[in-house]
Amino acid sequence: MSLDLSLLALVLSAGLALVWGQVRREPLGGLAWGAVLIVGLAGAVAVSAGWKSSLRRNGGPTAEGRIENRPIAVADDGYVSSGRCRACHPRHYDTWHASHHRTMTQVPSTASVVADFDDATVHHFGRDFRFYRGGEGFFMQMETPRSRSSAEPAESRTLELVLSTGAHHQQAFWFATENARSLGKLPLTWLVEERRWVPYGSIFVAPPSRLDMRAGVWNRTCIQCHVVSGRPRWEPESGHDSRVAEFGISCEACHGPAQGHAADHRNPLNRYREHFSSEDDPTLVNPEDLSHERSSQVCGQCHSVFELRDARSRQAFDRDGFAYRPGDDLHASRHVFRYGPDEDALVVQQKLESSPRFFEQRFWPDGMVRVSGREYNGMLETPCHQRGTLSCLSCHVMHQSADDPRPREEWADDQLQPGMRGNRACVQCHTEYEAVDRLAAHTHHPARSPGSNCYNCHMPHTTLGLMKAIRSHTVDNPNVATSIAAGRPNACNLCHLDQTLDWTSQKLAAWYGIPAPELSPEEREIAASVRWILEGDAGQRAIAGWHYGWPPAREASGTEWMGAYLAELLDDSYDVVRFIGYRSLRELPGFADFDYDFVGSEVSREVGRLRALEVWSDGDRPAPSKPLLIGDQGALIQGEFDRIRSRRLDPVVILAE
Amino acid sequence: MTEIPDESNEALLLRTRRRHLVFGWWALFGFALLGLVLEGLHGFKVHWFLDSGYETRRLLWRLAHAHGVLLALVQLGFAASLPFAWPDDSRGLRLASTSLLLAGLLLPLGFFVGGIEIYGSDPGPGIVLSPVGGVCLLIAVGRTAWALAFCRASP
Repeated sequence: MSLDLSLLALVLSAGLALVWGQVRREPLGGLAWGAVLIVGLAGAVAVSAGWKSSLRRNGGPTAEGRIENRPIAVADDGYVSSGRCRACHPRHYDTWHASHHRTMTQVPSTASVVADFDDATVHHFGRDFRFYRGGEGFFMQMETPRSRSSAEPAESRTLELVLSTGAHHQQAFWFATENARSLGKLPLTWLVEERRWVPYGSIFVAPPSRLDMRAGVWNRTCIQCHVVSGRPRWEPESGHDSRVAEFGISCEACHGPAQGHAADHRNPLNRYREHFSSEDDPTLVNPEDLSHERSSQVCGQCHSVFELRDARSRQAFDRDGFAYRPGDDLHASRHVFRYGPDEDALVVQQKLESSPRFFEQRFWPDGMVRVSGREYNGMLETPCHQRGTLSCLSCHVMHQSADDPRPREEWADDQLQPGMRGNRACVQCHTEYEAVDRLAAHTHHPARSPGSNCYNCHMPHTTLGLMKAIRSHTVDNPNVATSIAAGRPNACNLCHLDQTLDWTSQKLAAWYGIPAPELSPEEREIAASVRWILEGDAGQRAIAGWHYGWPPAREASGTEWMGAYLAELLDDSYDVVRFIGYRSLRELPGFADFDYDFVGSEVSREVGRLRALEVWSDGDRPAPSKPLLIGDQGALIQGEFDRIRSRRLDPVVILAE
Repeated sequence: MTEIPDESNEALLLRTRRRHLVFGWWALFGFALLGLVLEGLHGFKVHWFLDSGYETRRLLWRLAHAHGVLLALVQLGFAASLPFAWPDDSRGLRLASTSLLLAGLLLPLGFFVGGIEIYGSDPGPGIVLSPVGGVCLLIAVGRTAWALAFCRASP
């Protein structure tokens, strides 16, 4: 702006000089033109200085500096923000911009909000919630009715929503409080695919939630990973004064602070020296140039279950953000938890004292991580990473390449390299299975069937998050003994939903020499998925229920019998389990238009279950099957069903995704 | 004001005029054709021209087209203004003419070649031609302006 003003002042001075010359009817001499130039420059300097001074008085050149009711983005401490990167790296910027990393935290705007704010009204927690836009802002009005007998009007509270989280599967919102920049948690979340508002607690594997609008959760927890260089800055007297380098997960989260790089590369000679050099750029970290351990740690700084080592580190984080920078040894500055071989006893003990169920909320009892977003923990336990060179970048790519033919949205879904949904990921190293006959001989399944997809056996969907089952990122082998001991469903029975653990153990023993464990009569006779649905805990029910809708499993197991079990999930005590069950149910013939509300009243859910059973009874009858508790007429063997169902202990399961 | 002994000033003016007219019209043809090609790249949604990663190439080739066409028109204007500017200054004429021809070639070609291989937002090494062409253009324009302002024209 100052350049514009300077030019304007110069042009005006020259124009005045010309006019003056015309009035006097003689052109100006060289001396006069020199004087005009000096006066013009002086005027330009004065105007620029006045403009800058005015900006300083207003708190900075951007509106961000004037905001007081939410955390603000201030690019300092070596950070410059993605806007600066864009100028020189347009393709990388563009691919990042299309990724869901960018939208992890956004300031609500017409461009960023995908939820319904067009006067949408919903009723939850015994209250009416209305979502609407007002000017540039987004608001929620909450009406709390008085008791029925009271004649007083309802209590009304209006909240301004100042930050959002996510935009891919769900969009959560945070509201401004009267407590500095501390944010309150909006009790409702927008489900993108379903296009509806649901209680925030309903999207997690957790017992039914109550109205929770606590302040400070974002400032303490989300700020750790959903922004670049978050600093909570807690002040006991005034509340949080949180600052971030940039909202969302952007360039400098993975490449480190870029101020030095940007300054160095302002010089074109430095840029071209780097263009023509085979050496790594010393001014910035490129995870692709790091060792497989260090590059994975860049992802692991967020995608892991971790804890800072001591109170001093936590204080430093609160003030200055994490000490870790991409390229550093992640484990030097924080403790990444491992369930079994965790040697750092002090941190673990401290954690267990404050949160006794910490591990079971995140790991299966055999040490495999069971919540989404913690994939680095999974990979740490993988032999391919421990003894080989497997890293996150072996399969994933953070910037879609120019010659990748996939639509940008398809790439952005999991940010996988081309071909990585098939066996390419594994045969990069395990080249022996590139040959179709060798692959089929190893898998005992046709080479092009889902049973010959490496992932399906070695990375089954045993992780939960985002209201679905997600692939485990620990590469391991299916094992019935582990299924029994840890309760973690095995890959074979997650595809062959109609088979028993006995069937699986016999196959694994015959094909791979895995010893068959001792099994109970029911483990030998009843299909494993049926038992997980009927008597498993909420985590097992969610995983099994999700697989009832998984196409390879439906193809391998048949679907005529599934309605009876998915109907059971419609009346589950966990919201997420009901949601997953309903989503799988809709995939069955005759259920595409089945109407059901997974966050409806208890009565409506019970009615939904009965209606689903009715629809199932009217459909094609399944063949009799003892493992599936289907009798001669294709009907459920109700006595057995009820007997196994009554054994469900239903322990409280809270998965901290 | 040195005269070239073996060629009359009038002959030099004629030769120079013809040279700029030929160059100008052919450059206009060539760079207008480049414009058509660029439109074609848009029309057929060619990814190595339109994708976001190729923003630099798109900019450089558009600059090549624009500068090429404009400088072709400048050559024609220069040819038209010759008798007014250089009634008798053959050295100045040669300097301005050569510089303008070099500018008409180097400036747009620098943009075009620089856009063939790009490094993010940085053009390829061919871009060095453009500033050289730019300097030539300044010399030609400055020298012509000077000649027009201070020579006693006799068309």
